[in-house]
Amino acid sequence: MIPIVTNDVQEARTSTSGGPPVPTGARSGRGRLRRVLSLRWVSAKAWWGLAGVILFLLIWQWAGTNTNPIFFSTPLEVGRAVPEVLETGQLLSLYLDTMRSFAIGLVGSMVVGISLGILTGLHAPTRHLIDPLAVAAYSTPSLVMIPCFILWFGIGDAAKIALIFFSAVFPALVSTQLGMDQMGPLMRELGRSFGANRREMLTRIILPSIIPYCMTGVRLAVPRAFVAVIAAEMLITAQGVGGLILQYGNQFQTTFYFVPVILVVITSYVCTEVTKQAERRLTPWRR
Amino acid sequence: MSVNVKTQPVLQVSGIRKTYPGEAEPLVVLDDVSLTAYPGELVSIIGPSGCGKTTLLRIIDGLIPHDGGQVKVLDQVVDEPPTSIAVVFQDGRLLPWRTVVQNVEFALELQVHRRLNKQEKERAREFVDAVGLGNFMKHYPHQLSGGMQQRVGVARALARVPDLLLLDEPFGALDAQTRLVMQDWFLSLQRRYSLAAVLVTHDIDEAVYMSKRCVVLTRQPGRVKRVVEFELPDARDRQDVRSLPEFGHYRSQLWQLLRDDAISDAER
Ligand SMILES: Nc1ncnc2c1ncn2[C@@H]1O[C@H](COP(=O)(O)OP(=O)(O)O)[C@@H](O)[C@H]1O
Ligand SMILES: [Mg+2]
Repeated sequence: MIPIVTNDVQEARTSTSGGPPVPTGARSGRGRLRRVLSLRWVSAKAWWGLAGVILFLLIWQWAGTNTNPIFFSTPLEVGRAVPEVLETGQLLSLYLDTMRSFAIGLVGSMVVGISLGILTGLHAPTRHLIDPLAVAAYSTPSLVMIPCFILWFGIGDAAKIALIFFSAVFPALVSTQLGMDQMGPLMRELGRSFGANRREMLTRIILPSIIPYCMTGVRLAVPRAFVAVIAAEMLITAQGVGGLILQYGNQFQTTFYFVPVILVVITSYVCTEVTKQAERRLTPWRR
Repeated sequence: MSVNVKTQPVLQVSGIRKTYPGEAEPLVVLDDVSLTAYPGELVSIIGPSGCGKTTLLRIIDGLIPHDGGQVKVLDQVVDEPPTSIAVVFQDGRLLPWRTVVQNVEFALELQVHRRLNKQEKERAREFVDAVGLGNFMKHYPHQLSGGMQQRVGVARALARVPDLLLLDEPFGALDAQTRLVMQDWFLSLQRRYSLAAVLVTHDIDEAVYMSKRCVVLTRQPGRVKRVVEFELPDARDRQDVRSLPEFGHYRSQLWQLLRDDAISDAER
């Protein structure tokens, strides 16, 4: 199983706390350099996290040197295998391939999901029409669609992107609709009272008030899209990073196998953190 | 103020009736409600909760239709929200994603229907200054106390330069001391801009202290029970009006008018 890093909502809430924005302009260049070098900007939490990773690697190394290398390998061997996997496995181009599909599928599903969420949120009958379907599709494990997508789109990138899209579009749609519900009629009443026309109602009231919900949609969609792209590569196209993982796994090349796996782990971790940061930046008014 | 020159009223509400579709039968919320406000006058509306005060303000602002009667603002019949009215909402209703000054800019943006230029942004800052929040321009609403948030709501309404201000229990959610401070603060502001205002409240002292005249509503349906004129000195924030014998007299008069509804409320 691919270890996808999931997001701890609780943690995201508490770590976004902060008072009024602190002006940064006044700090001098040398002072900043000293601060960076002092490593004091690394929080205690992060040091503990780093310690956890190191502990994990030590245990792995110990376990790997004491068992058959087919089962575990060791971190040091995996590290040594990196250049070879880069060369013979062409990891980098496969990775770019994977990430391109990931980006296309994710961006497409966000645009469609959020727009559809706004449109249906504005029109109650349409909303109620598609609501059960959207919720059902959201809660369906998207992997069941693989045979279907192979039939429709063949075993190329189209099926892969379709699977990513299917996995990611419904969290975006459902979260956006929730935002439209939460806003309620009162904010629109405010707009009407102050003389907003239709465009202003959309751009000054509706869109800003659903941004937090759209960002939640993105945060829920990213890990799902990541599962989808790797699964599609392992089960449909046999290309990209997922294909490489499958190939090394089937050949019992455990040491090589861990190189793309670790790349996937790091990438999904970074994606999750980037989404959290983006959410924080885009919604500075939230506690 | 001279009495023989009768100026044109800013607001004329006559015979308003409003029903909501209820579960079994239509719920009559307002029945034959009339009131008038002249320039520079602060008229209060008092009544038990649920008697239709918010509904009445919505009708005056043209936000919802009524089922009879007429609302005129500066001799114009109201059917859509008029530019001459600004509302301070019961729940504040600030835009949480905008800073204090941006919340005030919101009012100006919706008047000019484009991006604001330098002078207009400067004007927004002046209104924030006018409500005493000059040091909090770039704060977000959640960083402010309840009283400060209501000041932003007032600044946003004032920025429209309205002929009539509607305030829906603006100080209702504040603690007792803050409420007294805000009452004085608002009275001085109202005098400075010589605003006509309709103040909805459920606080008897607030009605007597702040307004020239008070419309007492009954509950279900909301009818005008009595209109009480307060013969008290103007500029009340500058004198100790609360300790005048007349103040106590008006206060107990309002209580007499409200007590039956209040008692039946408490016993439900
Ligand atoms: N949109 C609505 N639909 C149906 N009933 C409503 C609606 N808005 C308010 N009411 C009812 O009308 C009555 C008056 O409400 P409201 O004007 O908010 O009273 P107040 O502001 O005096 O507390 C209440 O009984 C309330 O339940
Ligand atoms: Mg109310």
